[in-house]
Amino acid sequence: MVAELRERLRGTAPRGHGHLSTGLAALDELLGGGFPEGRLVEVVGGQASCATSVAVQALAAATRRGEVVAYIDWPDAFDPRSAAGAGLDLARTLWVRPQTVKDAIAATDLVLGAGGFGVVALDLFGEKKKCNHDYISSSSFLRLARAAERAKTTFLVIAAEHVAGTFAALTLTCGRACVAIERSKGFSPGRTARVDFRSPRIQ
Amino acid sequence: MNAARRIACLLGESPAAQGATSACALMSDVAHGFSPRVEVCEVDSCVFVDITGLQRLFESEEQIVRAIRHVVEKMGIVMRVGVGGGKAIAHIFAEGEKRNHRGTESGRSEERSDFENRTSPQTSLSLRLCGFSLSSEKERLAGLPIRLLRPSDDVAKVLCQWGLRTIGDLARLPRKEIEARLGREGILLHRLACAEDDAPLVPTPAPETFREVVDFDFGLSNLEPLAFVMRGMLDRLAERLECRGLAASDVRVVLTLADRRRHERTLSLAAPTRDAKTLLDLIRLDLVEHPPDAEIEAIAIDLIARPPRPAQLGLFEPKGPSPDRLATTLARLSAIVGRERFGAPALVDSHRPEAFALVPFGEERRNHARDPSSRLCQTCGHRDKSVLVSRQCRAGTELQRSDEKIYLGNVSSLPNSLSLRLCGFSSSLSSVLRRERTTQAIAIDALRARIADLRGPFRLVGEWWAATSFARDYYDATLCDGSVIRLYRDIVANTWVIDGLIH
Repeated sequence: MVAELRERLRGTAPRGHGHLSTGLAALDELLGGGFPEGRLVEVVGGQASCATSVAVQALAAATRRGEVVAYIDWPDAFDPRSAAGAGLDLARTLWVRPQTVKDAIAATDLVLGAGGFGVVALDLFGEKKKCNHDYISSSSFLRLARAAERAKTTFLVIAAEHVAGTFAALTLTCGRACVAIERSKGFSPGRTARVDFRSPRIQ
Repeated sequence: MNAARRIACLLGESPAAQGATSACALMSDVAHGFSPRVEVCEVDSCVFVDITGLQRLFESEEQIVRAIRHVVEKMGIVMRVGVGGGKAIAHIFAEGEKRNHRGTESGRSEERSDFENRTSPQTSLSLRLCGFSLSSEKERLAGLPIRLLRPSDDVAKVLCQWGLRTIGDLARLPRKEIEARLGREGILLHRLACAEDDAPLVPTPAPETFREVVDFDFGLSNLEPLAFVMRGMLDRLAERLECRGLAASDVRVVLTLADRRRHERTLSLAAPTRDAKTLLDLIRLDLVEHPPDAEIEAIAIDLIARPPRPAQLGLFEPKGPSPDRLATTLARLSAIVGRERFGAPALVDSHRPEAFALVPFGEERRNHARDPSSRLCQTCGHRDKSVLVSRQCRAGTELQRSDEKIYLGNVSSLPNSLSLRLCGFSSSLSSVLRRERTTQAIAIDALRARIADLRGPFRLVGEWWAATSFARDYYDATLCDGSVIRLYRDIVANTWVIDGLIH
């Protein structure tokens, strides 16, 4: 039985890092416990996806554990009421609303450098023309990934397309009700988890 | 004379070069770190420390003085130390140490060796620390020049005429004869010469504000050289705070400008700190945000000291960001994105779904812990507090001071609830919507998509008692590409507004 358990663990979890629960049981099971601690995780999804909800659920799970989290909201699209409805403790959330992508990167760098944050989410979801991801150099994500590793902070990047390149330890592609591993250091790509979400209430 | 009493005199060696006030204040802070009974003598630029009883902590007086000297000299202040049974005797010994170093050319070489002694703590201090030898204080005083007793000019002239050169010469004379010729001052001098000193030590209260002042020869118009000067000032202030076991809770920077005006800035720190780098960052960021409008001719930094907040970590709670680094981070964020564009979101007690508040991050949790009067109302979950309310208006956020209550009660949360992304299309959509005849589908030009399914309406009416009343019919619309948007029709204005994307 122990040998079987070891075999299962070897197949599911990347070594050397702990895991933080994503707040979604199915996704936790898919990832062998949750998002890797101290790593850059890319959550990619178009308009017809649940990328933001996946990130907010991870933030909510972190605040439930008593951790402090940060949401760098470049598109200025964060809705506190629906996030609170999803279980996010707003008093433990640092919400930053930069006006440019450059400021968003600088703010993320600062927050990661401060240390002590359980999860930091950088929201780069938006129109292609407005976001201009080409503006973000790959060295920015290298620097942010290093900062996250030093601070042992799980760093989520929410975007409509891939932006972090090879610096992401895990890339998830979100659909309307499913999340798939697209690229990962430690997992085989293509594995999918079905997540059931409820619509936010009008209140 | 109280034989058990031991007083140490710390004498700044070069007050003019070091800044007399600063050196004296620094020595005072160091002394307060060793003993609660400290007297500061600004006139002589010296500090008297009652070290009686410190032998319980240190093996000998020599070690006490070595420890004091080590801390003071680490701050760049050169000083002389003398220890005696009274203040005046200790001062004479400290002055005598100075005399030994400055008297002759041989004294200069001795000064060099003295410097080497200071840099190597293992070397003997017996040459420099007068009053530590086994011989009595009276015998040690006997060899010192009589001017160290600091007689008045008239008395000094008489003593010179008598041929007295050393303190020992005076001590050997009969006291009654001295009294008959020199009066009361003569008795006092003779008592000192005989090592009889019972002047009480009057403790000076420890200061709660720490101040450093620097005057510039030329006006500064750039922040970089000012930061360079501030770094040194803050380093010294931080060391003084450390000596006292305190930390700065508030910082006040006063810049004297070329036109004699004063530019004052006061910073309240999120948590008491004595990290010079943190303080410098905070001051620099504040000055970048609020620059002076003329050249700077002088700068004064005041630190209001408080005991540092003990870090009480929860057994079952993860460690959060340290208060020092968090304060610096928030200040830097303020410089990057603006003070009004970050914080902790809070819900406002309003029926409008888009209403929210932005409160300073970390303050809510601190208030929970510290301020019992601001506890939540258990029944309604409200707290009366004026906050900066940011009305949600994505096209142009307007900030206003309001007395609106923040809702801090538990929001009923649903597990796995989807989040709403608020869109930028807050403008009226009446001109871009057209309802098709056959279905409930609506073509929205702004999104370039056709609505496949429309759920609703969910009517929301509120504030009907006020001029800001609203009535809306909300819909959740599934577009052809599978995405779901939330939009509403404003019944009063008869317009359509896209609220957000359910993402």
